[in-house]
Amino acid sequence: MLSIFIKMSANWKKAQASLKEAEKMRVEAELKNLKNQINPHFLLNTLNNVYSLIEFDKEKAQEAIQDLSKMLRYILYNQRDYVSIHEEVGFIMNYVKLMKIRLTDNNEIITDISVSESSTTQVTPLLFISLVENAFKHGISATDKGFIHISISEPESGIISCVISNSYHPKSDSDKSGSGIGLEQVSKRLELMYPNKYIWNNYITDNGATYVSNLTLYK
Amino acid sequence: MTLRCIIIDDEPLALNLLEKYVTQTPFLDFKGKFSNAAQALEFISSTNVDLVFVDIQMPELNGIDFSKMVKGKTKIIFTTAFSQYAVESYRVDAIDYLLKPFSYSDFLQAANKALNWYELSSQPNITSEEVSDNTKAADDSIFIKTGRKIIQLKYSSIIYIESMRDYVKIYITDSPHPIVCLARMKLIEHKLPEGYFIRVHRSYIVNKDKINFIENNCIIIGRMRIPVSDSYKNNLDLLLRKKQL
Repeated sequence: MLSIFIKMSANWKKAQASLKEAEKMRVEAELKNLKNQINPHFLLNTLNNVYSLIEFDKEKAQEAIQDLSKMLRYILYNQRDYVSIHEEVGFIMNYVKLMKIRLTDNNEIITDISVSESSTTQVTPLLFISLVENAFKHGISATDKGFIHISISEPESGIISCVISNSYHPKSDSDKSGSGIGLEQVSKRLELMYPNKYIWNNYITDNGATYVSNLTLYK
Repeated sequence: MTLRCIIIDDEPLALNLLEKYVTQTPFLDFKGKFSNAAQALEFISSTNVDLVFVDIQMPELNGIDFSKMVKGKTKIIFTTAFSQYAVESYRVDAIDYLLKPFSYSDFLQAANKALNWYELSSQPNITSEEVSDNTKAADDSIFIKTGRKIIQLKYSSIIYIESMRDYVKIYITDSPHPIVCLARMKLIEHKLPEGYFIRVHRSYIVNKDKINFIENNCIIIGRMRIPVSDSYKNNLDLLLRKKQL
């Protein structure tokens, strides 16, 4: 009888320990996730641009600070597994607006959002942003003309399509303008959150002039 | 004195602010702005430019690589949002390094450094008035500007001084590393009292007290051999005539 009790207590202790371990891992993963989501280069570059804007266009500077606040709030206080497509689109639009103030007139940025206002579709957060970041990283040139077209739509209820095409200016390894989650991470997250429920194609077209990333998420 | 100046940054807003800073600085003569370094290089090849403000992190040609391609007297001040480039910027001998976002006063401080550099390097021979002024002051030390500090050095702590183009390296007793100072040899020679020091070469001034021995037109101090050149041999001969047994 006593031996059974001792054994049970040992098992219980073991279970407690592994529970603690799991909790620790979860917190660590969360922290790591957070670090990945806030690209320090994006943050610093945006602050620099806002600093200049204050000199030339105070209203635009205020607007930029609001956009940045919205982005930070979304990233920092939003640890849900799924968010509404509208929240996610709003986040991407804020990001695009902030990136636009850094660019020369050489670059054309077009966003085309066609998701019905009544849509209740949920998506996993901060997935599309990696594709958008990537487009800004490779689609922009200081010398040549460049473009980025971002289209997010819901062709059928519950099905979200994100198509991003951009002019292709591959950058050297020494350039550190981008970073963020990276496309490898996107792949991992898709496998985890949308197993067998997504199609993702990346390809180069127009004789190497255009890069396209086409992601569809199914119900 | 005005410095002809260009600015380079791939981000238009940063470029605009920099332009404003340059144009409101009386001693800077704004010559152009460029959103990429390659265009700026082309401009420099046909126009004299004294000072370039250049962003480090740019696509295609970055600021550090750009500065390595700039030849001649053109001086560089880097601007960047990322402090990890600081070490490399010192390696390429930049005048200064501005961390974005920087205020006009930060900017002016860096620009002043460049102005000082040019004024020092174009300074004519020192006036006799200054020299006599210097000898009157019966002290035993000199003030040396190195980096952001001005330090006081006792004459007795200076072993010898070596010139490196626009800089001098001052070897001292208390440190294995020389103190580097932006100054021409002629200037520092005049500032040092004759009783203590002797110029033995275009590139060397030696503290007389530190000489161990002289051999084959070389002065030996510890492990260091300092050459005595023909044009300065007279100085040494004079000393030896007075002091040699």
